[in-house]
This record gives sequence, structure tokens and C-alpha cells, in this order.
Amino acid sequence: MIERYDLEEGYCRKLGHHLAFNYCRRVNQGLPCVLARDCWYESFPVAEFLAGHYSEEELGWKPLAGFTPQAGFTPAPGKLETLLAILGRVRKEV
Amino acid sequence: MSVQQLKAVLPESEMPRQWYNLAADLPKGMNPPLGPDGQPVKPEMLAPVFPMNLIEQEVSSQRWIDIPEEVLQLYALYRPSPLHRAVFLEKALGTPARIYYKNESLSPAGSHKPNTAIPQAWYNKQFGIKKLVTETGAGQWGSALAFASSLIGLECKVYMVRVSFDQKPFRRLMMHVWGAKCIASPSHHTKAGRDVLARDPECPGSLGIAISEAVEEAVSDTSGQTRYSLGSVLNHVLLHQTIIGLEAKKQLAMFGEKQPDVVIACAGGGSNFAGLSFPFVADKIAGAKIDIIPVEPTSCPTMTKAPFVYDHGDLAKMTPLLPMHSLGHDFVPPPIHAGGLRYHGIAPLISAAIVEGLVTPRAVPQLECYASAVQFAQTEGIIVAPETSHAVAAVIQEARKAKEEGKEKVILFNLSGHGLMDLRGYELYFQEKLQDYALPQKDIEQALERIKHHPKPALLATGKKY
Repeated sequence: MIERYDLEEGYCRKLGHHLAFNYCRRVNQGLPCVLARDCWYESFPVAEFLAGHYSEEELGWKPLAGFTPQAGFTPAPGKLETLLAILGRVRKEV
Repeated sequence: MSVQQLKAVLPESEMPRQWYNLAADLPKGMNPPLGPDGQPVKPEMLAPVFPMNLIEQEVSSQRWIDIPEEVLQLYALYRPSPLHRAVFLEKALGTPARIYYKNESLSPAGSHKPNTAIPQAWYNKQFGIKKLVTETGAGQWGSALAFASSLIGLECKVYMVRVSFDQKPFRRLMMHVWGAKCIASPSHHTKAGRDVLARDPECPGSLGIAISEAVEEAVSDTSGQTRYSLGSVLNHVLLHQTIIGLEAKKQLAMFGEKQPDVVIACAGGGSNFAGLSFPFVADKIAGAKIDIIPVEPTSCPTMTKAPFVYDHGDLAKMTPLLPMHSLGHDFVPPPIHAGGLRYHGIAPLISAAIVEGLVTPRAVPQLECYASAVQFAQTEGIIVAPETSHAVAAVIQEARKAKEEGKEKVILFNLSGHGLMDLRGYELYFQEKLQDYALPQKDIEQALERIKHHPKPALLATGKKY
């Protein structure tokens, strides 16, 4: 059952406070956070959970059309890099 | 019985009148950030989001930059911050070292963040900007900018990740008290937010969505009167923080100290480390013998283990190449309860100081950090922020070393913030739910293998022994 670990609580290093796993498994357009595997391995068999509920494409282990690089298991880029990337995208859209 | 002096309180009239820019004094200068085309990134790239007067500071090579009188007057609300002598910690450790700390936790927002939020707001207003927008997670930066904007008279809008908005109400309320609009992100205020909500009306938000909303709001204001604000990493942010170290110099003299032997601060994005240490780095360049130590977690050993490379921030390689100590953009650090210390690359100015041998980074494990923070709280009284505990741990290491060597060292560190809104990590420590994690050598070797083809910046170092 996909909700099995939803109430597990851990520290979110992106946001700076504690959160339930329920957030981490759906934050990325309904898919898991890029850091989910890294953040939860001490608490429960997160790699097994993810492999059991998501395809390699969904986890970003293979490129998935229409998703940003953050959809995969890659670390979040630094703030300046993020800012410049978003700026480039927003200027095209706005 | 006379009461021993425990703190030096500098009068407002003695507050430093200029910020110090290390970029002017680095003996070999800095490697520029490179764009995807391999060419240096131009300052104009940042113009849609930052006012030109701040961009000028970002690229300035001027050694001293005047602090505007109005900014000084606003700083005076909480600055100069006191320099404390940690006598009770010294006694507990039985060390001959004299330990001093700059107490940045006394700012209205509880950390060093307002030191840059205030001038950023001021420079924006001078540029004709009416509104600042930013994003925030737990709310430390958002509350600092809300505070600063209220002082300056700017409208302030903070996109706070919805899950944080719901679960961390106190900093959200602080922002409201200071007059800022704190919006749960994703919101209907932007196209980026509406797109997300159309796909998932219950979306709990993410930092990426919040940044997108803030940047979109700044860029899409056709009046040109809205800008974005960032609280870490950039050169002008580090510059504004140097008031910490400049004050500390004067306050050490009030204690009769000529100079510190050791300067310590935690280093994530680098602004609080830079703020305390850069004025002392200048002394070191001029010949002073000072050990200057940025501290990081053993679980994420960027400064202490990683090579100096040009690295992208993302796998798609869409973003500029920054010269920094890095284990690569696909390096995933393991968990640790000090969010500010999780960057996989350190600020380029600090990397340059490491390459030149001016600062010597150190890594400490998290259990030692919490044990040190608890000892500090039980002797000096202040419950420090989780990231600040890294500095406290290194201070205690140095104090014990001084005891072993029988040396009366002067140790200075930056108490960058209190932990009163971040106590969950302490709770987990007491429940013995935290564990140490040192990155295995094989993981480091794998990371190094992956980045072996990354372009290498020129090692701009003199080879001088400091």
C-alpha cells in the first residue's frame, strides 16, 4: 500500500523543518522528491518502497519526457543556479 | 567581589562605516562563473531580478564599500551585536583558551540574516523599487526580509511553501506582524502557481515552485518596480555580513585582545562564515598568524574532501558553471539535521580563499555537534541553531587542544542564530534517534570518478604559506 509510510516523520533539508513522508512521495508533480531516497534510508527501506511503486522513468533513473531534471534522484542545485534557470524559463513564458 | 566583564558592547557611534570586500584582496583573484557556452556570465543576466546598484556590488573589486547612513541607522536597532566571552564554557572545559562569540541571535529575526536583508531593501528602494518578493521554506529568510522591508517602507511578498505555511505558523506570523504578505505556494497569484494547481489542487508546494512564483512576479511586473531578493551565496550578501567581523575586531580590543588565534564559523552557503572571518582573512593576507576555520558536517564534506572544479548545478547542464569545491552536481549528501549546511558546493569566494590557503575547513560529526550545543546551552545559556552547533563543536575541539598544548589561545566564533524555533533536532538527539554518518571513502571516490572530466579552474594561488 502506497500510504504505508505516510506518517513517518523526518527532517526536510530543503525546507528546514520536519515533515511526514506523505509530502516527500508526491512533492514532485505527484512523484517523489529528488532527495527521498537519501533522506529516508535510515527510517525505513525507502529504496525498496520506491522501486515497488514507481517506474525507473518516474524516479528519474531514466529520462522522462516533460519532467525537469529534478524529477530524478539528483540533488537540488544551488540557489544561484536555480535562480538563473528559473529566470531563463520565466522570461520565455511571461 | 568585582564582576568580571563578560561582553563588549560597542556604542552605535563605533559601528563600522564600511563593509569589507575580500574580492579586492585575494592575491590571485577569482575564477569567473562560466555560462553553458563556456563564456563568463555577465552581470546583466541578473538585471531582471536584482537592482543594478546591488549587481554593482556583486561584481565590485573595491576593497571598502561605504555603508549608507540610513542603513547604519537601521542597523542600530540591533547592532552592534555584543561580543561575549564564554567564561563558563571555558571553566567547564578547564581550558586556558579565551573563547569569544559574536551573538547574532539577538537580531529581531533571531539570526544574522537581517544584516543583508536591510541593505538589500534599502538599495532596492534607492533604485526605485516598490516591492520585494522572495521565497521561503521554514521562514528564516522570509522573516528577515519582511522585517527589513517594514523598516525601509517597501511592500514585501513572501511565497512560503504551502506545507511549511501550514506546519510552521510562527515565522509566518512574524512576517505578517512585520507587514509582509505571506502567500502559501503554489498560489493563484502567478502562472507558475496556477499551472501547478490546475494539475494538482492539493499540491503541498515545493521550494522550486515558490522560487518560480517569486521570480515570475518580479519579472512580470511591467512597471519595473518589483525585484527578487536572495539571502545567501552571492558576493553582495557576503559583503553585507562583514559588519560582524569588523565589529568583532573593535570588541576584541575592548577585552584587551590584539587579535584572535583562531576564527571559527559554520559554512553552508557561506554568508555567516564570510561575515565573521573575511576581515580577519584580510589581516592574514597582510601577515597575521590566524587559523580561520569554516566548519561543515562530516556527512557532506564539500570543503574538506572535494576538488576545485567547474561544476553545473543541475544534470541538464542548463545553468552556469561555477568554480567551487564540489563533489559534483549528482552527488547526494546523506541526511543531517542542519539544513543550512547541505549545499553540495560552497560560495565561490570561500573556495578561492581555500585554494589560496587562507582558510582551513574542518568537518565535524552531528552527534558531537549536538553534544557541544547542549554543553554550550548548559554553560552559556543560549540554545544555538542546529547549523551553529557545528561551529560550537569546532570551538570546543580547539579549546581542548589549547588545554593539551597549555596555550592561552584566543578563539573567536560566530553564534549565527538561536535554535528556539528549531528544537526538533534536539528532541531527536535526546531520543537517540540521530546517528553519525561519515561519507565512506568509496562514495567519495565514486563521486570524484564522475566529475573527473569536469573542467578545472585555474588554481589561482600564490603558493605562499600563511
